[in-house]
Amino acid sequence: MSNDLEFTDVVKRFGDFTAVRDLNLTIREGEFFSFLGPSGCGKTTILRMVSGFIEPTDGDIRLGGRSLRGVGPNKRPTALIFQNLALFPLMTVAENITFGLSVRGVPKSEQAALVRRMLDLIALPGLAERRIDELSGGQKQRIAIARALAVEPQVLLLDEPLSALDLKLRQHMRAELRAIQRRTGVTFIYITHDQGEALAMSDRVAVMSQGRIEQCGLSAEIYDRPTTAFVASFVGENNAIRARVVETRGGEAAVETGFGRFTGHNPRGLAAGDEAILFVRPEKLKLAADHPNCLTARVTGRVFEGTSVDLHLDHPGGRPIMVRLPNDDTLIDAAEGQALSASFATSAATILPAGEMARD
Amino acid sequence: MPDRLLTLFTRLYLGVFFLYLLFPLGYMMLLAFNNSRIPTHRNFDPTLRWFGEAWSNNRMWDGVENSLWIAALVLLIAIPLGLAGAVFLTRFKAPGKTAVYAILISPILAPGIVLGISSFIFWSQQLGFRAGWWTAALAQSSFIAAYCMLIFLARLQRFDPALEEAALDLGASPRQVFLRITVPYMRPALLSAAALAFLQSFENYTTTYFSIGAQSTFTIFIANSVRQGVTPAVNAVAFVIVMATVLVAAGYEIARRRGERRRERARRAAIAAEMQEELLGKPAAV
Amino acid sequence: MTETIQRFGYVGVTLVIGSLVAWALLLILIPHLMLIDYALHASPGAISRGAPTGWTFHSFLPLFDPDDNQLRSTLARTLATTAAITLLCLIVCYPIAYYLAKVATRGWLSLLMLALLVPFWVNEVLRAYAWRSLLSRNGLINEAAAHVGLGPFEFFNWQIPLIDANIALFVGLVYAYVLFMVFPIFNAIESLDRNQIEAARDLGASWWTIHRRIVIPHAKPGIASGCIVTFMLVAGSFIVPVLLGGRSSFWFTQAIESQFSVLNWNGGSAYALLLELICLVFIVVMMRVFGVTLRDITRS
Repeated sequence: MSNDLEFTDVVKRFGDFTAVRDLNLTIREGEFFSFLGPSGCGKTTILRMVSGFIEPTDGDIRLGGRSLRGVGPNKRPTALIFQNLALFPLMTVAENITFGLSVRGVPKSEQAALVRRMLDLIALPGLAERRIDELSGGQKQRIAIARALAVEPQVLLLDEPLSALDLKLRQHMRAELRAIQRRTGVTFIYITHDQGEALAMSDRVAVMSQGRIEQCGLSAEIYDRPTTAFVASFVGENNAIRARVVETRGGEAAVETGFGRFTGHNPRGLAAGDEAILFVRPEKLKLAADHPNCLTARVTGRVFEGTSVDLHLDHPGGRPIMVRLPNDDTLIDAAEGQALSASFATSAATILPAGEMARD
Repeated sequence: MPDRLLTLFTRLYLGVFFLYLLFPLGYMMLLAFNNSRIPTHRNFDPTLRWFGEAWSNNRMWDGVENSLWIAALVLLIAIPLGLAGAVFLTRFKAPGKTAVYAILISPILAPGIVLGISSFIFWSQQLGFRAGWWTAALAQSSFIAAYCMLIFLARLQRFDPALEEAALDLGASPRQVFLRITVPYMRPALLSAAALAFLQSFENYTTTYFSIGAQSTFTIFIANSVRQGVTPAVNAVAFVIVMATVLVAAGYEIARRRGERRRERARRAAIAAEMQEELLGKPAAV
Repeated sequence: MTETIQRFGYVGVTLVIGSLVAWALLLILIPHLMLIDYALHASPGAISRGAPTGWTFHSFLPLFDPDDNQLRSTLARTLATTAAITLLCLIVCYPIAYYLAKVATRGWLSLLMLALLVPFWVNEVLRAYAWRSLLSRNGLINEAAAHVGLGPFEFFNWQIPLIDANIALFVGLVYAYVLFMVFPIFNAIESLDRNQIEAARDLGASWWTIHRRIVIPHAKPGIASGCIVTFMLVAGSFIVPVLLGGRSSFWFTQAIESQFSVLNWNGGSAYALLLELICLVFIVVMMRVFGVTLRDITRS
């Protein structure tokens, strides 16, 4: 129980529009938890409800057993890192970091000690007297984090903090944020539309679409074992083949597709006759005929990605099937127009109900 | 029209225009130095006596005192009102903002004489107070507060609401947010609004004249002097005013340029840090 | 509204709303209603001579007096002159505004702006006085004219035909409100992307076409704003006509003052209300013609 964050039947409506619905979730203390989804899926709304700038229309949010309803944003033990950072432009770095303490009346001597500790934590010693408008993007990022951590929140909320940074810096900051979270043990709630980020940094991920959580679990679960077509198509690259269930056995099913008969996981318990989509990841398709599931098609394109080579196979009535081959000595090159066979294991395929895809 | 002719014509036009603007003032100031009972440039005989005469004119100083009291009261009223209006229009969630805006702005669009008269009629005739410097201050406040509000609006509209939210999020009470985040941000706007309010109040004639009853202000004193026939003492006063204005304007310009230079320096520092970041692929350490 | 209260606290919300209500009521609405009330009543003196008590248009009567033309001609003169001055101001100030917005380089710009602003920080009384000295019989203009064998000119009695105002007043009024015409137009033109003008020139347009088809349409809100403000300031101007009007150019605001000087508050209110209504009509017409809203106008 401790300081877990519990959502119970939380709903948020703005007039006719329902931004968040049926939110039932427990985020454990000390967890790095991410909400992943496209814009408009409701993740920002959830963040603002936790931080106190919006109140839920229905339901309750509890921290450590105590309800947060009616508690103003300045009285909650949460801290928010805004998307544009919102550092106070007229103050120095030190003044920004100690702001939360100074409004609580903490004596100046303690404040100075805290500034030193924080600057060490974010590896920017000596920047205390610098003005905000003289800093770079990465520096501002870290100071925003220091400012929020300075008030010792129980929950730190991060609103797509890395979206403004360029690639290399973003990757560096991912590791940094993870390290800081581990070191401080504060619950991090992270929202983003970048799935690579969410999967890499989080203990658990909740994939959201249109106000509802589609699936919530460990990164590997989300990736390898999607339970809805939305999750399967939104997270990572995935091949989608229209199918109809012909037979089921335990947790697996056999389906009939345009390429022939395949078998795969059936996590949603579809029955014979149901319309479905069979998902298989590009990297799980092998050019050798090792597996029972085998499809043959003509190569329509070839893309060199550096670490991999993507082959596009003709898929009548659907997007080209993508086969991702590692760029190592097992690489078999194929030319356009060539007919190829690719196979995949039953455990690599997931069969999910049709009609739940992410919008392309 | 060939370009060169156009440029020449433009320069000429500008020259004539600014001559038209500045020459009368210069002429008026020149007359302050002529030793002649009637203000004229004829038989120019330089002297400073008119400055002395102006300085010792008690009625002028009475007028100045009243003007200062009025300006002080106007500042006290107009700035908080303007700020309230700007905060309401930009930050509050409430209906009817367009109507509120129109009502509060309307004094700017009304003739000064109407403002003066309506204020006089309300406070003096209807409510029975004796018209004086404070009825004038109230009349002036109606439109000066609107000007202040416009200045604050312009500044507040560029204010990132996330800054106030961040302060709240970190634990500040609404009062602390206002005092420690909003007001410092508004400082430049507060200063220009105060300067504008003071100037507009001090040099106002029509609205003041119709709402002040029998009392005098600095501008009323000058107008009376001019109407009744003058000595160059008035010109001496004019000289001082114009010089003061020029000095203030110059000072403002210098301060503005200094602020710009500082901002430019900060911008360059930030860019240097950014470039370092790109090269290293991680946040700059210093 | 609850979110606002949470953001600002009960005290803050009360302060803000309270002061706005006080501002609107005490400084704007109620005095105005009083003005209308007084305008629609007859003066105590008139009542004692048989005028109706209660709501009446009695105080407006002098306007319609068939025997006495003076008030009507004063009003006509005021409006005609104001319109002429507004138009002239527009023509004179537009090139200045354009030059400042698009042609002047940075250094010159701040200098010229200062040269424009400084006269306007000087009192309007002094500015009118300056012209009075300059145009008087002993003034510099007449002396210069004498040198070339012209004049002496009686600027204070030399009526301009059609609008029936004297030259000194005309010049003085144009002078008094130049800034209010330049600034809105300047602001409007400044927001025009210079590239549009260059593109047009590149395509071979003459400077006249560029202004007519690109600059002026863009500057419309500024032009409307400038005209409205200038019109109102000129029509409502008081001390400038007093100092420069001479014996021949009585201004409508002076008619208002003469009512006040005989303590006829009702008459003065009636005329003031009339002036305000005329300005209001002008504003609405201009807004319609130019297609601008209230916010556009007050942006300057």
